[in-house]
Amino acid sequence: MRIKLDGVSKSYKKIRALDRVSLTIEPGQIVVVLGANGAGKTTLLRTLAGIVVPDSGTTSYDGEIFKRSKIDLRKRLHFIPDFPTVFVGMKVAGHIAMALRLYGKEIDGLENRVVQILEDFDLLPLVDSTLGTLSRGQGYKAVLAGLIAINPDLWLLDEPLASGMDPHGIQSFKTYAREAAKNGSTVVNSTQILEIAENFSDRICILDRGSVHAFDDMASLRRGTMESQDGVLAGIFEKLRANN
Amino acid sequence: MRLRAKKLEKAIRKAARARLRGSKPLWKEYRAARKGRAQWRHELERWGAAFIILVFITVHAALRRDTHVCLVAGLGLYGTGTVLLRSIALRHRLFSSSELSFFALYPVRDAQVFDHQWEESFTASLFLPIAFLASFGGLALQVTHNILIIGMGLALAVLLWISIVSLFTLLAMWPPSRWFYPCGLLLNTIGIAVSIWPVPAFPAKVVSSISTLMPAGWLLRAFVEGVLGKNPIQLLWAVPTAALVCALPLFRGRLRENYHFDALPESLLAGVVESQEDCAVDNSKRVEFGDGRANIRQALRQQPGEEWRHLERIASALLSRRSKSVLHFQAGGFFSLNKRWRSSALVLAAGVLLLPFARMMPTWVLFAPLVISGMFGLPILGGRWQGMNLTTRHLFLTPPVAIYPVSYWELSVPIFLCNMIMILGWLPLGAAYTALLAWRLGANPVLWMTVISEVILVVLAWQPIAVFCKFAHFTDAKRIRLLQAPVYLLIFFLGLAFLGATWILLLLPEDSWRIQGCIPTMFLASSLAWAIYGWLYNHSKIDLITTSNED
Repeated sequence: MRIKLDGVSKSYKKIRALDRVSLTIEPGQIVVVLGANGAGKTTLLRTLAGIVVPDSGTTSYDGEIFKRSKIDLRKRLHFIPDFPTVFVGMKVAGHIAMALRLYGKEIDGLENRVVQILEDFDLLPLVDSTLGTLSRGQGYKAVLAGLIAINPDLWLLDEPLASGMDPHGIQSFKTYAREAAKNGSTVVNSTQILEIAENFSDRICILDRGSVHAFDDMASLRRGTMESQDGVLAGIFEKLRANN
Repeated sequence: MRLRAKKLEKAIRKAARARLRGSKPLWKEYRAARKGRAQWRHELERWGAAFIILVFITVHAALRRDTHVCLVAGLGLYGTGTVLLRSIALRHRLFSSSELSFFALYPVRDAQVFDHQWEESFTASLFLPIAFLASFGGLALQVTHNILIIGMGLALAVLLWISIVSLFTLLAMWPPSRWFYPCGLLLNTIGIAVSIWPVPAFPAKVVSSISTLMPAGWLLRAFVEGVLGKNPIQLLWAVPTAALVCALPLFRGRLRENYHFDALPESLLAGVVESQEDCAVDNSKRVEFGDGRANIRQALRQQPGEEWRHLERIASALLSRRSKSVLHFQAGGFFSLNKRWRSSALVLAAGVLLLPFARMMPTWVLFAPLVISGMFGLPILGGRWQGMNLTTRHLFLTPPVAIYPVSYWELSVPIFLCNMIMILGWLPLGAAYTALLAWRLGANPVLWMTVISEVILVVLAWQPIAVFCKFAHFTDAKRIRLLQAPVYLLIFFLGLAFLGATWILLLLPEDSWRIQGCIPTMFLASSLAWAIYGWLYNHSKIDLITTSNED
């Protein structure tokens, strides 16, 4: 799915969260969104998911202007917020089944793939547990399992690596995300962990006070700075902080 | 299309179980996770008690012949109040519930969200047919054992329930008036009160007539006068109700047609408060560090207690600086002994205005101000302390006080002192009202004041237990280990001793040994229980956390 943001701005009352953001993301990439607290990362992801509507500018997917009412287009993407909303009384299996139904992917034989995903995230014994009784990390993994089962063209995840997932869960997520990207899906996720951004991304989008400061791959970012190999992103952040 | 995919869910669970059976440890883990988390237990806890109370009240009232008119009038009012309250609840589910942020994450159509939310509201009204079936059945049994008539009563009860659903769906088409909530609550309260307590004939007739003006009262009249009273013309009252039932699909369809999920506020769909959410800093509103430092300095300089007044100042005089800080924190920054005292005084003042009409009213109405005022002014359950409120951290519930270095006695002694001040502050108010009430009803004011003083004495003696109960609701007392069992048993027996002494003091004939024996026993029992619980708390025998009900 080719994603294009063209001059997207979004304000909350007097606060400008996104300021004329223009980006083009080619399919089959893992894009990491970086930025200080309040830089607009979450708003960018929400805009891509159609949860918030830009004040100006457009978002298009494969050349088609995105609107929340375009259900068929929305069926090609899925967004997981940092604290996902769930029906706490629903069982893990029930949640995933419902998510698949809402995406029109309720097909015979899919249960084996779901079971495999649950097993990969160590959730299989919790299949009959209600979501309200799970720990934060387990709950996040259950929602993530739903996303992987849906397998949309665009994955949108807000801080998935600060979600309480255990190391094995994080590894499984990375494996699935990399596999999805290989098959042509686009994975956009935000993080604050620079090492993750450096090692688990095809492109990095650095937001600064609602604007795109940089959108490039790691190699290009290295070339553009005078920092040592290890501290490229940290150096960029320090400079941005000093300028602010 | 329903949201839940039961068939697929079943298939996933079946496939998962087949895989889990291949590994003994995983199967064991699955069984343990499933066993402790039965949803039906949670639901039973949530609804079971309410159902039992509701059925008991309605059957009890229905089987009393003298309350025939009262029950009909009460149910009519209750039904109308329910319509108002349920319409607010349905609007909330459709337009402002936090659940809606879930749907924003999925590609759902307006109609799907509407259907789901409306069905939730419908399910939440399921307690109504139970109450109506019990009432109609009870009323029918008073008159006849004819199965046909009883069956007709039950059918009409279901009809009444659906008419109420129809009405609240109709009302939900418009934003609720600000009067809906207080009116609904008032009608429900009066409805229940009238159903339970026998009301004199004339007021009952008046209430019954008012009830007939309301749609929920029509069917009751048709049943009581048409079916049970064998007056067929009165059956006509059922016609508008039947029309309401028939109109339900129409009302629901119209509401569904006009429901636009996409048009809901973004802040609701995103599940956040806009201004506090992740967004760029506005340059025009940047806070200078210098200002921030000054604010912090000012906040640190301000001593708790400076802004306290009257009753609060008495507490302040009795407490050390450290205790005042702890108290300020426990109260969540809003220490309000004075405010509560003022509210209780206002309620009693309203009660005094009713006293000239005392002989025209049921006695319970005159006692109501005393009870309501006591609820404001007497810390019967240990008072309100925000620092001890539970906050959810995923599965667990923790109070703010649990994470700061304050001891059990530092927390509980100031509460105890404040509660004592509250009680003693309320005593003159309560005693004065009781004396006036006794005088108006032609009773002995001295005797009534003695009774109220004894009640206050019990409340005073109860305070140590009330204070430690404030802790018990967040400490995980469910995890009783063998070594702690005798300690809990001792607390239990002390509680029994307190109850026994209270019973003797309040209910047995007057005798000097009552005062001499019972009062010290009550104080001793409750103080010992307080101290023993403190020992458990201070010696780390209990967790300062509790699990949610769903576990």
